[in-house]
Amino acid sequence: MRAVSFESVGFSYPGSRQDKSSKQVFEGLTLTLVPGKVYVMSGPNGCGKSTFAKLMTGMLKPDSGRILIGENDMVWMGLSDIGKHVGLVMQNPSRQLIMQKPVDEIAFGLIHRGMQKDEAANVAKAALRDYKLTEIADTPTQKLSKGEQVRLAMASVAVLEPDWLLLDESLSCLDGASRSKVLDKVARLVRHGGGALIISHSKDLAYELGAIRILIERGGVSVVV
Amino acid sequence: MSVLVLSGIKFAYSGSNRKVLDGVDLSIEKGEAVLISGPSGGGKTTLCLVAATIIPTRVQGDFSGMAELMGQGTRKLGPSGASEYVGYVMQEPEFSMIMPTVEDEIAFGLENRGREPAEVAVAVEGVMTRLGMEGLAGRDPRRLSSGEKQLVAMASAVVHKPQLVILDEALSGLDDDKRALALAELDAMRQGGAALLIAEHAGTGRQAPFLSARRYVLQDGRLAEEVSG
Ligand SMILES: Nc1ncnc2c1ncn2[C@@H]1O[C@H](COP(=O)(O)OP(=O)(O)OP(=O)(O)O)[C@@H](O)[C@H]1O
Ligand SMILES: Nc1ncnc2c1ncn2[C@@H]1O[C@H](COP(=O)(O)OP(=O)(O)OP(=O)(O)O)[C@@H](O)[C@H]1O
Ligand SMILES: [Mg+2]
Ligand SMILES: [Mg+2]
Repeated sequence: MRAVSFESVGFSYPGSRQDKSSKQVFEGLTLTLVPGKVYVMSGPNGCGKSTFAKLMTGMLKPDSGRILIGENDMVWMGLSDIGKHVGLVMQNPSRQLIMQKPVDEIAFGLIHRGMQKDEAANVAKAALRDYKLTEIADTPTQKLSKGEQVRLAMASVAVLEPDWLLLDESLSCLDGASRSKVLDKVARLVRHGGGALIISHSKDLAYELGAIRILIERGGVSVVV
Repeated sequence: MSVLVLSGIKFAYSGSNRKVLDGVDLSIEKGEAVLISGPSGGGKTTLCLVAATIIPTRVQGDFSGMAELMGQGTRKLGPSGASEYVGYVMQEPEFSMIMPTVEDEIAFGLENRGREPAEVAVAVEGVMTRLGMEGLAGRDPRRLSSGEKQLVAMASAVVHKPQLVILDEALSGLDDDKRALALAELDAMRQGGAALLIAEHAGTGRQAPFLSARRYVLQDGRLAEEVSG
């Protein structure tokens, strides 16, 4: 399992037609996430937590500096290659759900990776049961409730068994039972040498999980163990 | 007169035979806060849609029961009639944003309701200051962080001083400072006579306006009142 290193990363959102000013989020950000650990990231609204998660999954590219998975610079890796190492449950999960049927959503990544359709469907059905989604197996993914979408996104990412699991405010959308389920999954991943980054406004979470805290302030990052 | 009265509400989304709401009774008076929690998929958002009159007028399904807002049947009132009385912060606020800047987005509802430009400007500036979002005025509302979008949605929902404010998980994504400002705004509205309907997962704090809130759990299509302990 590999570490993920941000080396002097700079990132700005470019301006748009309505709002021409570009929006700088990071400058010279250097940080290494070591596998076998859980990190809890927090900081004020707009400080860059979701941007960090998207950089770490290759959805956004740094303007300067580089991000390494192990020894490999992410710029030279394809998204599906990065996907073997890093999986993200987004803050607005409806954006990451692309299929109509929940079971197809989970199977999609597996088939893309070369698994036979039948086998992928079986794995997907088991994952639906695992995340208590069998009742909504016939509901279109875009119509699911927010918590159901989070669980479906989680299931779709988890079956791909990435080394790193990134959860962007996912826990606050879940009820007690599914929250425990997801935290169980995180604990198991970490025991097997993987790592997790959980973005949350909760003050108690890092303590509850014995995690390393990462605080992002506007313009700077500090790590608190 | 109650602000909202729901009686015997049943609802199944079209294409599904599961009654997401299966006999919901709830009335909310002026100045009252009601907090709804319950399992994910339990129907909190569906209940908010009924209170905002979007169900049954805009969402297809099998609806029965009686819903009244400010003494008027919601089927007749419709979403545009109801919008005078209701401010609704949706769980996924980004889908409701249409204007090029945050300032315009918040002003839009007021202008739409025929308020004078001078009055609009004062109201928009006031709510942005109280929610600590002055810095966002010229930004594109679709290109913000999730918490920033929630704030814009909240400002748009309260700026016309509605009689009923509906919040669907609208606080969980805010940082501590923003959350405190949002709660202060909501409690001031409640003290001014507004009713609050708030859907949140369990664990929502004990500060105002939750301190005096009636609490319910929505499960298996029905509301059960939580006895405070
Ligand atoms: N348009 C729709 N068509 C079919 N089923 C739907 C539709 N919208 C919602 N549902 C289903 O209705 C149930 C209740 O959904 P709702 O969004 O009200 O739940 P919720 O309590 O708000 O959940 P959460 O805590 O996850 O936000 C869910 O199982 C959901 O999948
Ligand atoms: N698509 C975009 N275009 C331009 N600016 C953006 C875009 N998305 C986010 N931003 C800005 O970049 C900064 C970082 O946003 P980000 O979404 O990473 O914050 P966050 O820490 O996740 O906040 P939250 O707690 O509200 O989710 C914010 O100032 C935001 O306004
Ligand atoms: Mg975010
Ligand atoms: Mg909901």
